[in-house]
Amino acid sequence: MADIDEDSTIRAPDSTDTDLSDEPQDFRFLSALSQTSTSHPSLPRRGEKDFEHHGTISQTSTLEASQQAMHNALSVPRTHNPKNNIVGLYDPTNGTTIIENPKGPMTKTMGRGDIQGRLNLLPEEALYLIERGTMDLRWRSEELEGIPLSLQAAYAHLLGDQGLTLELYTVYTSLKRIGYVVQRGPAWYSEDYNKDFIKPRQLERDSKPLGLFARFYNSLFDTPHPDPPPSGPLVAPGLYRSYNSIYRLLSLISTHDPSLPPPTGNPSALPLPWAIPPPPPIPASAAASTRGNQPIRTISGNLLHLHRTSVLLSLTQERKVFRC
Amino acid sequence: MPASNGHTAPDLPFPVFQASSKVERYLLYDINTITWLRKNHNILGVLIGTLPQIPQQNVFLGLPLELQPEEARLLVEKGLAYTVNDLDWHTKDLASKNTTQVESIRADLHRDGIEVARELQKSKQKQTREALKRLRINSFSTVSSHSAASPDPQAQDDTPEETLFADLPTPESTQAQSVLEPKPWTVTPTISYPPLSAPPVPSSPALPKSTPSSYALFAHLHDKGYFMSPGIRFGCQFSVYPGDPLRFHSHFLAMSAEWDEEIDLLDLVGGEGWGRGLRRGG
Repeated sequence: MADIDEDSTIRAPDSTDTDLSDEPQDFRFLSALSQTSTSHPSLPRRGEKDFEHHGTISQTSTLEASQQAMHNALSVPRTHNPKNNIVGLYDPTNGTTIIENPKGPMTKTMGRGDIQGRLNLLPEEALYLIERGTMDLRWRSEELEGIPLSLQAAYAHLLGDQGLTLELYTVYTSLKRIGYVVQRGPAWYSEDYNKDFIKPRQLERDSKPLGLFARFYNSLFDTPHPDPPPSGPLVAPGLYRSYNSIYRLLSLISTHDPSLPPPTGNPSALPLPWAIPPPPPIPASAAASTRGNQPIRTISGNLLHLHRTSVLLSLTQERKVFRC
Repeated sequence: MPASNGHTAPDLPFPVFQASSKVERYLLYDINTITWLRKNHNILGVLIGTLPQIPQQNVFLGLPLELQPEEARLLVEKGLAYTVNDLDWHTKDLASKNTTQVESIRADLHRDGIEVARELQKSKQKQTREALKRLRINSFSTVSSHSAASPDPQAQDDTPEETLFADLPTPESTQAQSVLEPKPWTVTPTISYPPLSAPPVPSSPALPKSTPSSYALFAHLHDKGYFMSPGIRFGCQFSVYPGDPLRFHSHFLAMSAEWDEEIDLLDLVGGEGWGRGLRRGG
């Protein structure tokens, strides 16, 4: 890199560098996007930018257009169709939010239902639903019957409630926006999480008791082989009835099992604020129709992902890392 | 047009909202103020909300806009803005509203809702009309190509518009008349003022807290006409842009230190590494 002219490297940004959230985005692409988007809008590539002012009218007008596009994109109001409006009620006296008639996909993974069929929302959930334009939140008081909370009022009332800081909320929404189901983690309910992070879900193959025949078969053939001698081949010549016993002999270095809880060095170091529950188990019928060990691989893959995310979360309490 | 262009200046000083005393962050909700600040005062802030149009992505974010503490402080020191405790203001102002005022707010919201519904209906009708038109033209062109061998293709080609409108408007116009007044939609407003009354301007506004050294650096660079956005993801305090980052690449990364503060070499090397990777000056 040192032999390349500094100036030319500054002037020619690498076009293969594609992390869109790294740079401030040009909202002109958003307007192009939202006009054409019907089913699956794909995100645009970043636009070409300039190094410095060169006083041309073209540059000024492009900048104007970008600013105007940003202004327009940010001015779009949050409107609710009366047909499928989700109305939330916020009680300012005790800070609770309820949805009396929950419907729609967003409410399925949020809140806590009660006996009357209402959904009680946590402050971050309520705020997120307003922000994305899903819920119409109104005051739950006689004088202000039917009047909605503005986005600003919702921020004022819901942030700071139950210890929800803007940092925590930013992490929450950025995870929600990319499609995770996010629940409160150990930092919120420390007494419930006296053991470890999330209790890892048992893999299906562990929890399922073996049938009588399988146990009999295993007792016949799956006898543990003795440890290999200090020298010589790892797999000594002999009779092997399954690949598993050979694999066991071949594994010299213990591998990382993502389903196990991470080792706890200092438990009070950084409590994890958010937990992402693993996806629901695959129904038996679906598992049967999938060939081989496909379902199990999917689950462990997800678990690995979950584990990575939790590590990332614990590393980045600093909110700006998460932001565009 | 200039009014809708976002050039409208807010009434000065304008309020900067601190959500509540528990949340020491400064937020702006009014898009006019935000665009005005960006164009006239080189203040960027950071968008932190979800865009309601395309909510499932993290690339384009929406309102509210969070001001960096340095930005908020600069605005207050210049007398352009003052900080408001949002929760207190909402609670007080809502409590002071009498029934007639609440009634008028309700009527306003209802009117807005009807407006939205009408606009939507109109655009829907327009879409239908255009789709029908396209359909008609397509079918017509296939018909005309089929009948190209007919004795008088020229006459047909000359009157596509007429054939189109001779057939279509009858069912469509009756449809438009039969559609009832749409049910009003509901709108979640972004800002609270109006309808609430403007928060009172304090005689001596509280200054947003920020580290002295970073504020000095920010104020200096801002004075020179640079735009600053948070540089934490590049291992620095600010990434510095020569103009609006919508158009310009950043020139360098900046980090502040006290006068006799020892500068950790690792910070320098780290920042340099990030900057080099992203083609920024150190």
